[in-house]
Amino acid sequence: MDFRGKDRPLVNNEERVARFVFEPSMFDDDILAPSAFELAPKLSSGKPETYLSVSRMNLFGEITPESYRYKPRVEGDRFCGYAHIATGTVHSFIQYDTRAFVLEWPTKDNPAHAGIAILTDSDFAIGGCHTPGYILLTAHLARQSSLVRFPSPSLPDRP
Amino acid sequence: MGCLKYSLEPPVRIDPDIPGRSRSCSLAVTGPDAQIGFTITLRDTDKSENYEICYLPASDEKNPEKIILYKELARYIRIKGTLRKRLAALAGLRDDWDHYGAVAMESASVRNMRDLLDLASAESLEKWSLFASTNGTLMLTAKGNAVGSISIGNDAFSYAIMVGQEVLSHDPKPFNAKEAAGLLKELSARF
Repeated sequence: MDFRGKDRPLVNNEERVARFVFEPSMFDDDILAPSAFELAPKLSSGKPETYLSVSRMNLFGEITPESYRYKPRVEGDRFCGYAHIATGTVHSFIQYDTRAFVLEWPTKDNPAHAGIAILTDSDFAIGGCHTPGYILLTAHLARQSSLVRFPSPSLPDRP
Repeated sequence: MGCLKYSLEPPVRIDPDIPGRSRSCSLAVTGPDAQIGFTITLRDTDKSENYEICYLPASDEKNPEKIILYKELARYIRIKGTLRKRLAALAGLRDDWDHYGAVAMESASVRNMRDLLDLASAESLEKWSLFASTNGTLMLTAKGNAVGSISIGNDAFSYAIMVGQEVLSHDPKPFNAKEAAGLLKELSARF
């Protein structure tokens, strides 16, 4: 698939991908916040995010609290769990001309890395998008995901 | 017996049950829902005194109406109190709170959500979860058999929700707490 001028293959529908969660408030009991699948409005580069980072579970291996090297950026945040979803479920969503595609996106640090690109009308969405289709997509992905939460004996959940 | 304490802002009036002492009050719910009890602390604003009255309505078999009232109050306190506490915690989220580049909570969005929580009925709010959005605004996300969210921003609100095959949405329009509470009630009645 052509993503902003670069060809990236689609991840197979049968694979599952994991979205890592670093903020406990994204969980409300067994409900996941749609914001777990929102594009960031401003990356450290100052530009909005253009795709969602996920990991292909069959390539990543077991995901544990220790399996991800993570330095807290804000006091209290931690690698507190992940949401995993079938790629086919991502690909099957269509509302208001909004669709999502899981693209192979291996990196040096994470060969299992993949990216979810969101197409609204004929343009790829960027962080800050707030169309009805985008709102429904993020809610759909959060609802369809299975959740794994890591306990934190040393840090209280917030909020 | 465990004790969960919630303060209500603004205070609720319960003068039919406690005549003359209804100007300001806070309530504590004690025990599990099946054995609801209340400790009601009244603060008479004129006299600046505290009055404590204890009720154990679950055992008040002679007054079923009072039991129903108290159960409704307990539900109100549990739902609204939980959401208000959650909102206060979310309001403290700072830049990059999600590790991916989210921005800090916008105080205007927090204020708007607080106004909405004050006006919306507990019956409606029970069907939604409160979350932060990565752009610094807030959202109420549908539970149960509906999928979607109501987004509350600094000066606008919008929504998109699927209930079965039905899809409802509205582009951002100027925020009005009363209108948003009405929308919440209307949408909540659908699932």
